[in-house]
Amino acid sequence: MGGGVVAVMGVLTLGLWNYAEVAANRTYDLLLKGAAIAILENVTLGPDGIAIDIPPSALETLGLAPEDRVFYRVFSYTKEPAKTAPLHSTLTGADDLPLPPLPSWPKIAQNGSEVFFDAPYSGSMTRFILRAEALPGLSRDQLLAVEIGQTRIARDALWHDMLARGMAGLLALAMVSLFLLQFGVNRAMRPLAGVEAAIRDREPTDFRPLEAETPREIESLIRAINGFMARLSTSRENVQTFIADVAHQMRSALAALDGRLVHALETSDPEELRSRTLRARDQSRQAVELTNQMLAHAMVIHRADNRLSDRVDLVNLVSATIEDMFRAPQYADVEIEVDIDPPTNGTFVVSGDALSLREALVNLISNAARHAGPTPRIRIVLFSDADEGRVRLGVEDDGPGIAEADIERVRTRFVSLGGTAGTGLGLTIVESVALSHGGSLSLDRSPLGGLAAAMDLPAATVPADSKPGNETAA
Amino acid sequence: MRLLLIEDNDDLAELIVDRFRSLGHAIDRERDGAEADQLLCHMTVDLVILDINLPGLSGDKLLRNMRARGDTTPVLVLTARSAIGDRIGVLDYGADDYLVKPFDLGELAARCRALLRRRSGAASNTFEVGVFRFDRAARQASMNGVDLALRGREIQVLEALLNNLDRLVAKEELADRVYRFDETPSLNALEQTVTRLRRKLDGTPLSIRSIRGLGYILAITDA
Repeated sequence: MGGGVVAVMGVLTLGLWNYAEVAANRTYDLLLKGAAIAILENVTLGPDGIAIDIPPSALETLGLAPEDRVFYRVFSYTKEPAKTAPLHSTLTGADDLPLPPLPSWPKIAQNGSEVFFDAPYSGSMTRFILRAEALPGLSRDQLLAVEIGQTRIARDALWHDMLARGMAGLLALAMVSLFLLQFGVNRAMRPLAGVEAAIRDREPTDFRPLEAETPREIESLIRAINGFMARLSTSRENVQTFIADVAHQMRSALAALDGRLVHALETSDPEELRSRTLRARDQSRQAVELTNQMLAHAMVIHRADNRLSDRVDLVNLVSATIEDMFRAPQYADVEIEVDIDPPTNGTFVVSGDALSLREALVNLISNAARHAGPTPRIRIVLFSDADEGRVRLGVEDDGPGIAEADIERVRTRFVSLGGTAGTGLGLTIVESVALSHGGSLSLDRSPLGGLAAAMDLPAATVPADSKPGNETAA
Repeated sequence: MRLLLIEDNDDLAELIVDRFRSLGHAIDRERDGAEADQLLCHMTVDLVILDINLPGLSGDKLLRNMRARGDTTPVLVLTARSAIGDRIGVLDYGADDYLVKPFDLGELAARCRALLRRRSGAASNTFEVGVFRFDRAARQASMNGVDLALRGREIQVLEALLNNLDRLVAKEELADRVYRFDETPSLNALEQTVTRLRRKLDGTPLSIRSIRGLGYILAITDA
């Protein structure tokens, strides 16, 4: 900011310098011209030759500059001499006054003409005027000229004086502007300092909106801050609810486990003991599964927040997951069918997080397997709609399914239907993953008889340099 | 089988050691990652059970050291779910299999057995499990010494699946291995071959699982 002011000052100073010089020159040049005209008017051609009668006023006017010396001469010369230097003869005055080069000598115009020049003379820089006229009576190519010189002391003094005063004014103006600018900026920033203080002194849990008694300019800033705090507040509330839910569920599960173990300790009948211990084992398994699910849910949310983005080929994902899951004994008898539609040249690539998608698929499959019929059969469906840019990954089971009225309830955390004692988090996790990938969870009745749960996801856009086989399988 | 367990949790270690000893295996236990790393430089075992979170040297570093040395001993990793990416990254480091804590001890034993079998399945000339025996050189499969009379294509399918024990082999991939390029493979014909093979393998611990729409998995069922 200061730099800008200095630059403007520089430009103005140059302009002022120029103006002062020109103005001072013009003023004193006019005086010289006036004197020259006055002298020439009093030169006459009489019977005895040229008569010069220099009026005292002419030189007195020039003498008004007390420290300057004045010189003059009157002479005649031929207009177009054969020689380089015109033949001239001084009629009166100092005959050693310097003359400018010939081409710049004045030609005669209507009212006479003059030329000004500077030359050193008698130890000082002197300003000269050379004015010529045709004298009636003289031959056609003879001219009468007067040359007056005046030292530059007064002239320069005027120039410098004008410059100095102008500069002083400019400087004052610059100072005042800078000051006003600074003052203005400080004034404008003061409310921001207020905002800064207000936020700095806040408790970390205080999300009340800032009071806005602020200038228009920062109103939108205040609004943005308040909006952000509101979102932060909501997010915090969600986390607190989540933690409360988790705490409740875990405590209940562990309390039940403890209860069953105590129950087992109360009997000494070996068969009864065994039976109670087995039930405690089941409870323990449930507690473990619940913990795993809750951690999975937290992981999925955390990864969604971090917006990881791979290209995930869902066909590879399904193969890898089946391979992994179906080694476990509980899936030994489950019949699995995979339905890929369209079978060729369909794209089943989505953009997202491989780990979360895998977690969702694991939950879909384990849910389906748990609810499947007596000869358990599950179908994994992959459907690609290239026109709409959608991909569907779903799992269906052949169990009894869920009643129409209850179908939406399964999305809720910790709601487990169908009497098979699940954690109630499975579909919540799936929905969470679907949403974070820009998709949704759909729940329907399956033609197999049970539930059809599917994630509808946007297909990945094909980049210009894509090569097949680059995609990740979890 | 000679095993090395590298686990810092005493309770869990005690349970695992007891289990494997009761199954008749020789098992040693190490608590610290750095010391285990040293030990593995001199000692040969059939299988390593490795916990990913260890004091001293971390499990994944130990694993990388092993593989860098050229040690191809099968490793089964025990991992805690809370470490994001633990589950998947492990296989990239050179583990052969992983189990998430808490796990069933029976499953641990089963997976260890499967790991060893998978190794021997691909390596040696004969593959034996329970009453089943497959002679690669002679291209002959038998149960209880009796030849199963497998036909050409059936042997090709069996071989292809044995080389990928416990892994999903896509039907297209299987067709590629089984049919020569001048034959036009019909997936229907392949299904029929697999069905016939499955029937002949009935009574052996081998079971072929069809994942209709994708492919097949050959697994060993422990009796």
